[in-house]
Order: sequence, then structure tokens, then C-alpha cells
Amino acid sequence: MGSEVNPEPTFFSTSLSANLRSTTPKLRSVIPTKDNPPPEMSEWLIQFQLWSNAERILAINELIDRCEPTQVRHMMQVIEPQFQRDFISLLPRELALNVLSFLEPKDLLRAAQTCRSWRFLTEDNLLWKEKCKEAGINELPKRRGSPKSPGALSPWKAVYMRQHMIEMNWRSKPIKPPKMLKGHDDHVITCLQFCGNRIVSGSDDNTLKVWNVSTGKCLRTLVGHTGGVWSSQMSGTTIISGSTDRTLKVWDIETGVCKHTLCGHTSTVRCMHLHGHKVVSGSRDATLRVWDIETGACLNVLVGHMAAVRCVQYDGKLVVSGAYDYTVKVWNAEKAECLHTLQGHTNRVYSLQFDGVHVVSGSLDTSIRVWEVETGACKHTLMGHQSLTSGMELRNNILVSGNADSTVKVWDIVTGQCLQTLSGNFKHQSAVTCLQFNNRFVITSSDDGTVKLWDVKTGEFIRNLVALDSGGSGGVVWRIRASETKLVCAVGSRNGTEETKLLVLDFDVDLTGSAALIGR
Amino acid sequence: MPQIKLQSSDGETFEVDVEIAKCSVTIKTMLEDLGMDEEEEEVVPLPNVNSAILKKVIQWATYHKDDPPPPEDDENKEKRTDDISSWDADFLKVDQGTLFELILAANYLDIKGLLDVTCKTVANMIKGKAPEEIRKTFNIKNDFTVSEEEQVRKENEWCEEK
Amino acid sequence: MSNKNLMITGNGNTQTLKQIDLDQIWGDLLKGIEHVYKRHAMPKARYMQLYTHVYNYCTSVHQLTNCRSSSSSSSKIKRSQVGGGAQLVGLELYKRLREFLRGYLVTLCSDGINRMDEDVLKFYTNQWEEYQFSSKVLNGVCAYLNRHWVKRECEEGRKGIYEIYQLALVTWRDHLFKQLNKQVTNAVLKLIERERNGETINTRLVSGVINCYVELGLNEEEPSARGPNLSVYKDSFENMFLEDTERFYTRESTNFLAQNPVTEYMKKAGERLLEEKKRVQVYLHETTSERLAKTCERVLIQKHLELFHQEFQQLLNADKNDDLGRMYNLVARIPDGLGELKTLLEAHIANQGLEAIERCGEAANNDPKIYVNTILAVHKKYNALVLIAFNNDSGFVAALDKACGRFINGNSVTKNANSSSKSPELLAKYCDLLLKKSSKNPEEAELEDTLNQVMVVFKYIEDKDVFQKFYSKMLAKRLVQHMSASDDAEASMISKLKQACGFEYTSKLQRMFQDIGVSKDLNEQFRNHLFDVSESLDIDFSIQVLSSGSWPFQQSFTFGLPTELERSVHRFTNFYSGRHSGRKLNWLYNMSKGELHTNCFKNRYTLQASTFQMAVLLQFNVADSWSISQLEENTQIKSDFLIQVIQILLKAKLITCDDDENDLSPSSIVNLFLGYKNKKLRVNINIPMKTELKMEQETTHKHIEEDRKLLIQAAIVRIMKMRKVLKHQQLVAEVLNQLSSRFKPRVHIIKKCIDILIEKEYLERTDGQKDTYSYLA
Repeated sequence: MGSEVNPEPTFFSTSLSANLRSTTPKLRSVIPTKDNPPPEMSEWLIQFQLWSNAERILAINELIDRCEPTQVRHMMQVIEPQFQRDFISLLPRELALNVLSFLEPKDLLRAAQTCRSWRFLTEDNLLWKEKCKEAGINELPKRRGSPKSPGALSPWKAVYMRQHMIEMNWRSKPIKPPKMLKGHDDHVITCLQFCGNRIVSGSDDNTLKVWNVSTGKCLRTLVGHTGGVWSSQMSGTTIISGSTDRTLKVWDIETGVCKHTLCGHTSTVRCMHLHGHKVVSGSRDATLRVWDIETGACLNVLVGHMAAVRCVQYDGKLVVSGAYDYTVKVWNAEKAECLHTLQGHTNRVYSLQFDGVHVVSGSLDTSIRVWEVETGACKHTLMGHQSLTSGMELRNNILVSGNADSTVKVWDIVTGQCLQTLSGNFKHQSAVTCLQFNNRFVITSSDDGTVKLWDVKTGEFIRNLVALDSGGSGGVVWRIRASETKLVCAVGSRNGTEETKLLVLDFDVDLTGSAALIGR
Repeated sequence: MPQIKLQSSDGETFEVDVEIAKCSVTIKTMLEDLGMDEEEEEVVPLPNVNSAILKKVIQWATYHKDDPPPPEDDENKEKRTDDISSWDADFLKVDQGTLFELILAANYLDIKGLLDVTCKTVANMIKGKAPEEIRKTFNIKNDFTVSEEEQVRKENEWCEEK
Repeated sequence: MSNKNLMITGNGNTQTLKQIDLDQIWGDLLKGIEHVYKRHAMPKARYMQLYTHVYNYCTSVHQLTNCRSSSSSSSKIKRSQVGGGAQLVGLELYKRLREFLRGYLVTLCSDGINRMDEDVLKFYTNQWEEYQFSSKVLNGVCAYLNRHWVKRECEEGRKGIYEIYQLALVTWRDHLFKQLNKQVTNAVLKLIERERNGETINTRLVSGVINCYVELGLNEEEPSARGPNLSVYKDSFENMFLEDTERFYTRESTNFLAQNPVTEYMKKAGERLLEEKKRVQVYLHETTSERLAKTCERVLIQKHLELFHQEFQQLLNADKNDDLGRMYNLVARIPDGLGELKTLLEAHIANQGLEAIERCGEAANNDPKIYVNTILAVHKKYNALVLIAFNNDSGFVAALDKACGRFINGNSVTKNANSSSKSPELLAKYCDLLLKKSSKNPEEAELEDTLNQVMVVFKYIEDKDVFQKFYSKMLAKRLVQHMSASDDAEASMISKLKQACGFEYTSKLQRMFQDIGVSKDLNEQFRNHLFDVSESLDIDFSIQVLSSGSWPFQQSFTFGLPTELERSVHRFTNFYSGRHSGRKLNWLYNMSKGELHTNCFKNRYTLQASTFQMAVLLQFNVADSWSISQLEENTQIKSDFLIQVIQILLKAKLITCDDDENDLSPSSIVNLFLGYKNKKLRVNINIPMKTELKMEQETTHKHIEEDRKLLIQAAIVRIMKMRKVLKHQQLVAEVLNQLSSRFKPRVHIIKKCIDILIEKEYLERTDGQKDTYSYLA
């Protein structure tokens, strides 16, 4: 008995060692402390240690029996933590990280504030990389450490934070007064391109204007068309414009030089799509033309539509075109042969999207059709809109459609289901003119003079990003273009109530004082 | 159904269906590497798992033996913690010490399902809590200095704003 | 050991993890690993013990929070990323395992370095298999290291860190494969050459090496991408193997061809290709299949293509269909290799066709049956050849079609007739032969079959409109004269034409059918009507009402209708206009006929005569002789026409004349020949007149030309309405394309039509642009 040493540490071992080290007698005060224990206690404890397990348990039982309720409660409070575990600090690191990987960013940030070892693990870079991935951020920005907040050593965490703050700027932070870029007099802005630090607006005043986004200055006006500009495409420093003067023009936006004038169409050039150095244009003359924008040569003419071509998509190989003859055609651009004629719409086709697999077409017959490009088969007819589908965007099988019936719908084109209808109390009061979406938001503009922000997942209205005072009395938003941090709107009116201009809204994180911004 | 004998660290032997034992990838790999002799009465010692925990692990594995194999790590899948079955939730109504040891055992034996559900349970104990509540839950000592704590708070409060 | 079992017990959070030093476990772990690589059996308990060693080491205490900069500063692996990285335990163990594997393989290598040929193969494959097996066990023992430490290193983008099995492969590659692969690959290639020369070899030696090479193709750039990338296999084996193959077959094929005919060579080449395909299946990697096939095809086929082309013509001449099939199968493997064969085949078939028609000589010019059957015989023969020997390859089908098109639309017969329209004409006549009542009408099934054959030829006819004209003419005659053998057969033929050329092509033919049906009812109604009003015409009288425009008949001139007929015509005209007010009936006397009973001859004959003949003959009821001018006056038939009628009656010996029949004048007198005799009592004297026949042919052709112009103009307007502006060349091309199913318009005709349309102000020449037309709405 007693000689057997229990390998398990006992509950009281630590307090014992602390006690043993301070055996020097001190003045006994009325209140006992660790440094000032009752003198008999050490013997009592030594005796306890000498007992076997069974003896100890018996002794504890007897001790508890003799305790007052308050003392038992105290005992409980002391014992309880013994059954607690600081999992994160004590588990092997790989397991602690596994636990943390189940937390959302918000919980991770709170957990970081508990103690040093938690803080260390919750800063883990791979952990934040995973969180970024979940949020759809797949790459670190190339310039390093831009929003330098002190201590945020994980680059992925920094990226996540920046993204979060930009999202809050879109969602709820007060909107900074937009830059106003005035031009084109009282003409209509028909098309808008926005890339990097450049905006190019095209107008029915026969010109295009190139703007500097950060200064808001008009850098130059591209003059040469003899008819209104109705379509444009942009890539790098090249812009291509299509006009009622039956030509396309290729411009260098940095010099303002018109590099080529592409002649051949016999009526208005109404739509175009650029891929690499080839652009495909669609015209009211019922044909499409494939051009090389470097040489200015017409490579092919696609003949077959029976009426004006209204919309076109081109992926470098296939051309998809929608026309006023109610059909959509799929072409091999190189051989200039029509592979499929997609028939089904019962009125003019106005809008198209093409992702290489699916063709989506919007028509004046109120329906949207989803086709398989390979076979030409119609997979779904999306019904629900009341009027013309004027604009659509397709990404990752999610389609957002803007309609003249003043609503916007979100569809899954694989199942053909309508996931959301952006309407309700805050819906647009007039036809939707333009839209853009990402994996969080849908931005829509309308003839009612507003630009609205919606949640793409829930379909909820978030807020108006723009609301013209002249909305309802003539002021309209014709076109919008957005980047991650900026929104460009082309606004104006037909009756003079709103001057034609571009509005540029900035939602970027304030680089100079991000810390101050957070603190507010 | 062939059986296998598993021996806990404290010497207790459990006879288990091989199929159930194979929930443990560690055991499964071993059987594949060494080959399975049906006749052999060889005992497999598990020196890192005591009998109380091994019993629970076997209980869990028996219940889950017909589960479909866990999906390959899908990198883009969002990690959820609200998908714990009610049986698992009941099974894991244990003190933190037991939960801790179950995590270690699941990890040692490489039972992905059990490891996930136990880690999720711990994650759920952290979720939605303020730092002080977390400390209380796990009996963590706040070892930050005052200025350190203030700095950490500032660094991490951006998530709180709406 | 038992005190290690649970490292955390009792005193909650104040308890620390136990630290286990690598040296504490390495000794025993190494012993275990060496055991594994000696391929000694291992008890489960020992395996678990080794696994637990690794586990305990990896989960042992971590240096506390601020460890992020310290610890592995000594390691060779660069920490490229800053910050936020919690490190796991494992590097030191990993390095020792790597060192162990290296040592093991260096020793092994020294044992193998001097071996050659089969000896080195046996050594290499045996050692590989054992090493592979042992490394799998090692991988299992080190599973914990793989699962966490290695995984995280890879996620952090560290290069040169592998799962332990992969590490074993990399180490094998760097320390054994690199030293031995030349002699191993050489030995494999020698073995394969021996097999090609007919020896039996131990294929397991080859497949063992191949498996190893495949396994060694590690995807180092992307460790997450599972599965080998074949780089080692390709670089160290496949390339050399293909070079070897090329050398071998270059030599073999040249030698073989020097001693054997091409037909024998083709058999040999086919066998070799099959053999090589099997070789891949038995012991090489499947991806080699394509490159190997390409190599063999290049050497065995492509290099000898010229020889094949020469042989092809010989084989065609000799009808060696089996050999032709073999050649096709070989040459088809070469991209674009068949082009020359197609050209040769096309020329051959066209020549065969031309010769066959020429051989018929004169007969083919006038006998549609001989002509069509000759064409069909050639088509049938080569259709069968294409189907069987050339696998119905679309290119060869096209060659057959082109050749048939060529010899059908232009051959000795058309040359004699000086018109490519001769073919459609003869074909239409052949149809008439088949469909007209005759003693030789075939059975229904046989007829259907023959009509299908006709359609085969029809498909190749360029001037389908010519066929249509002739066909409708002859159909009209068959219908009007009740000479159709079978309504079903007629309908079947029309439906075939409709299928081939569309509704428009046959719409008139179908209308003709309808008219005949309607006329049957109409006659019945007319008879009833007469009965109702109790009137009798005294003669049998029946009519057919044909809608104008659908029938290819021309209006005939008028003449003095014999009084005997006048009443009937009158009655019917009244009856008809009573039923259909507003419709105008024109009488086609030239198409009408009647029967006359003679009372003036010894026998009572029934003469089948044309209306004109009747008019003349009926005059002899009044007098026995007439001068021609008198007859002309009485019948009002134009004199040149009348003379022809008289000539026929003279030939029939019903009348006589003192003047020569070719020298008749208005004053010539004709007399009824009362001594007329004929063996038959029913005599058909209604044979067509020469001028009628000739005119018919001419008008048919003239109509065709006119119709064509209209079709061309319509096509031009259609095209220009859509395009608005078009260049001359493009317009011509589109017109040709649009009309190709009907006929082949000649370009100068198209030009003429464009000019007509410019005159009519449908089009104008675009100002300032050469050769461009604009549409005028």
C-alpha cells in the first residue's frame, strides 16, 4: 500500500507544490491565503497523499458530507474547469486548424481575441486562403500588401478584409458624391465601355468620347462617323464602333487615331462582338461580317438571316446571331457556314448570351430560350416576363435578365427554373435598360432614372445607388458598367430635364486610412 | 462476417466486424498492406486509445457502417456545421474531456466522419460567442497585455459593423 | 511505453502535451522499416507500433506560439511565404526517411549496374516489384505524416515534398532508374525485335519495365493532379521504341516489296498493323497505340503510296474487288491518302460508262430501254464495289456520283443528238414504255423495282426540267388515250419524283390525274342529263375536260366540224356551261378521235380515226370523189394540213388518187376506193402526222428554254430582294446554287436574264462600282 505511485497527477498536486515552497511561517492573519495557510493543512495533505485510491475516495466522500452547501458549490466551481479543455491550444496543431476551418470569418476574428495561442492559429494563412475561396476570391492581388493594417500578417486575410469592406461600401456605407462627366450635349449615349482607367461613351451625336476615370476629364473625342454610333467594343487601348453610316471604325483611344474604317455593310451596324483580334458585326442589312481589326480586312460574310441582325456573340470559333426574322443562327466563323438555325421565337430576337455550350436568346415574344449550341436543340423556354427582354448576362449557368416590364429575373439555365424575381415594393418604375451582376449583387438601371442594387442570392432589394431628381419626369439611366469598385452610369433625358452625362461612383476602400475607417 | 480483435491501451479486447473496423482508414490500410489472414487470431493493439474511448468509437462506427464513403476533399465546398445528425448530436453529448479524446482517437485511427463531426461540435461551441464567452466556455486564460488586447480588438473588429 | 498512451489526462488546461523527440522513436522505427524492405512478414501489432511511433512524433508538443520564425531555419527548404503559417511537425522525420531510401537504392544500384540484357531485365523488374510493395507498406506506416505534414507543405506551395510513396518513386528514379535505364530500355527493345522476328519472348519482363516507367512519370508541378504524366515512359522508352519500329519496318517493307507483288505486300502490311496493335494491348501503355500506328502507317503505307496508286488501276481493270478492299483499308489510314484513289475511280467509272454506251452503237440512240439498262448496269457494278470494297466511304460514293453524272449527261448518244437533253428525254421515254399498256408490261413488284432503278438514273440527270416536260407529255397521252397500264404505278412514280424534286415539280402531273377522274364523273352526269331530258345524240360521245395550264397540249386550229358531231358538241357545251358558268371550253380537235363504221365495202369495218380524218372521210357520204380544193372548202382544214391527212388516207388505201401522193395539188382528185380490204375488221388509221411530231419535239425544247429563263429571273429577283446589293460573280453563283436541283443554267443565259431585269427596272448597275447590281424595290 502506498508504495504504488499513481501515474496520474492528482487534482491537488499543483497547489501542493506551491504550498511546499512557502513553508516559512508567517504571521497568521484572519483570512487564510495560499501564502498563509492554516498550519495543520500541510500535514493533512501529506496524509491524503499517502493513501491509496480507495482510501482517498472514501476521504473525499466524508469531506463532502461535512461541507456546507456553499462549500460544495465552491467545490463545484473549482472542479468544473477540470473538465474543460482548451481544444485549440491543446490539440495537435493540425487538428486545431481543422476545428477552426469550420468557423466563419466573423467567428475566427472573435476567436483571435481570446488569447495568444488562439490568435496565432486564427491568423493562419492557409485557413484564410480557404475562407477567401469560399467567398469567391481565388487570387491574391499582384501588388503586395496594399491595405496594410497592422498585424494582419496573412496576405489572404488582408485580401478577405478588403473585399469585405468594399462589399460594405456597396451595401450600406454612405455613397460618396459621384463624379460627373458631362458631354455629348443633349444627345443619347447609346453604348458604354469601361476598362481599367478608361471609359468610352458612344452617342447618336456621331462621336465617341474617351474619359479618364480617376480625373473625370474627357481626354478626347473620336470624330469621323457620319451617322449615330450604336454599338462598340473595347479591348486594351483599342475601341471599335459601329454606326448608322454603315461602317465600323477601329480607333486607338490613347491617340484618338482611327486606324481602320471597315466598309461592306449596306445598312446600319447595330451590334458587334470582339474576340482577340477579330470582331463580328451584325447589321440591318441582314448579314454579319467577320473582320480582322489589325489589318482591317473583311474575312467573311455570314449570309442567311432574312431580316435585320440585332445581337451577336462570338467566342473565337462560333458566331451566334439573333435577328428580326425571329431566328437565332449559329455559324462557323471561319468557314462562314450556318451550322444551326434556332427556330421557336415568335417575334424579334433582341438579346443573346453564349457561353460556349448554351445559347440564351431574349425576344419581343416575352420568352427567353435556352439552346444547346452543339445540337441546336431548345432546352428550355423561360416564361414569366411580360415584355421585351432587352439585356441579359450569363455566368456559371446563372442568367440574369432585364425586361421592359420593369422587373429583373434570375434563372438557372440548367434546370430552367426562375430562382428570383427582382421586384416588390422597391422595384423599378419603368423598363429596365441595363444590368450587370457578380456572385453577390445584381446592379440594374432603368428608364425611371434609378440604379438599384440587389442581392443575387436572396433577390432582396438593397438600395438605390443612383436616383436622379428628374426620375419620372424624363431623366433616365441608359447604360451602366461596373467594376469591383466602380460604377459608371450614362444618364440623360429626351426632354431636357436631365443633362446628358456620365456618373462615376467609387466604392473602393479608402487607401489612406483604412484603420481609421474601420474604427468608426 | 469476419471479425477482428482490437485491443485498447489498457488491455481490453474488442471483437469487431472487419467491415466496421475498416471505418478506420488506419486499420484498413494496415489490412491492405499486410494482407488479411482469415484464420489468424492476431490481435491488433491500439496503444493510443483507452477502452472507454474505443468503446465509443466502435459504437459510432457500428452506427455509421452503411454510410456512403466520405466525399473526396472538395476544395470549393463551403464548410458547414449545421449538418450534424441528431444521432451524432446525442452521441456527442459528453464532457469536453471525452470529446477531446474522441477527436484524438478519430485522428489516430483516421476516421474522417467522426473527426469531422467532433471538430464541428467544437466549432459550434465557439460560434457566435464573444471573446470573453469563448474564454469561459473553454476555461482559457486571457494572456494578452492590455495594449495587446486593444490592438487585437482593433485588428479584428471590422467584421462587427453592419 | 504505457505512460505514453494518453498524453493528456487529468488536470485540464494546465496540462501540457508530452514532447517526443525524434531520436526516441527513430531507432525502433528504422528497425521496422528495414524489416519491411527485407520483405519479411510483419505482424499487425508491429505495424501498429510503427504507425504509432510516427503518430506520436508528429503530434508531439509544438513549440509554442512564437515558434513561427524559429525551428526550421536550418532546413534547406525555403520559406517563401511570410506570415500566418502555423507549422506542423514532420520535416525531420521526412528527411530521415528520404535518407534511408537513398541509401537503400544506392546499394541496390551497385548490384545491378553491370548486368545486361535479360539479366538486367530480371533484376530490374524483380527489384521494382518488391520495392514498390515495400514502399506501399512504408507509406501506410507513415500515413499520419502524409495526412497532415506533407499535405500542408504541398498546400503552402513547397516544392520537392511528396507523400512517402511518391518520395519512394522519386528516389528510385533519381538513384536507380537514372543509372540503369539505358541498358534496361535497350534490353527491352532487343526483346521486342526478337518477337517481331517470330521468337516467343517473356512478355512479363517487358510489361514489368513499362509499368515501372509509367509509375515514375510523377507530376511534380502539380502534386494534386493524381496519376502519372507518362513523361518518363515517353522520354526513356516510347521515342526510342518508335525509332526502332520505323527502322525495322522500313527495312522489312523494302525487302518484301523487292521480292513480292503489291497484292501480297498489302496482306503482309495488314497483318503487321494488327500485330502492332496487339503489342500495345499486351505489354505497352495504351497511349502508345496512336503514335505507333502512325509510325507503322507512315513506313508501311505512306512511303509506298505511289506503288499503290499504280496498282489501283490494274486492280480496277481486273475487277479484283478483294484486293481493292484491302488497299482501301490500308490507304484509308493515311490522312488525305484516298484522294488519288477517288480520282482514279471516278475516271475509271466514267470511262466504263462511256464505253458501255458506245458499245450499244445506234441502238442506244433510239431504244430507251437499252440506253437506260446500259447505264444501270455500270452503276450497279460500281455501286456494289463502293459499298463492299470501299466501305461505302462518302468520298468514294461522291466519286461514283460524279462519274455517273458525267457519263450520263454527256456520252456518244448525247453527242449524236447534239444535246445533253437527250438523256432525260430517253429516260422519260423509258418510263413511258414501262407505264404504257402493252403485252410486255411487267409484274407489279418488278415494275416498282424498275421504277426505283429509273430514279437512280434520274438522280444524275442535270436537266431535270427536260425530263419533266417529256414525262408530262407522255403521261398526258397515256391518260387521254387511256393507255396507262396501272394507276398505282403512275401514282408511285409521281410520288418518287415528288420526293426527289419537291411538290412543285409534280404538281401539274397530279392535276392531270385529277382531271381524268373528274372527267369520268362528268361523262356519267352528261349521260344522265341526256336521259332526263330524253334526248339522244345518236352517236356514242364522250369527252375529257382538261384544265388549261396543266396539260402540255396546244390549242388546235379550228375547222368545220362535221355536222354529225356538231350537235353533240353543242349539247355538251350547253350542259357544261350550265354547271360551271364562266368557264370556257376550248376543243382540242387534234387530240380527239372517233370511230367510223363503213357500209360501202365488202366487209363492215370499224375505222379508228382522228377528227380530221373523220371530217374528210365523212365527205364521202356525199360523193365518191372530190378535188382537194373542194375538200378544203368543205372541211376548212388548212391545205398543207389537209394534204397530210389525205396522204395518210392514201397510204391506208381507203382512197385513191391519180397524182403522186407527194405531188398533190388543189386540183388533184381523190376517189373513195370501194375495193378496200383489210385482214382486221377494226382498223386504226389514226397515226400521227409528220409535221405534228416534229413540231411537238421542237416546241418541247423551245418551251424548256423559255421556262428556264423565267425560273432564272425569278431566282435573281428573290436573291436580290434579300441582298439588295451584290457582285455579279456572287449573284451568278447563288443562282446556280438555287437552281441546281432543276437544271444547270448556262452562264450566258443568266447574264441575259440580268439584262432583261435591268430593262424591266428590277435591278440597276450600282454607280461607280464595277460588276455590282442593286435591287430596285
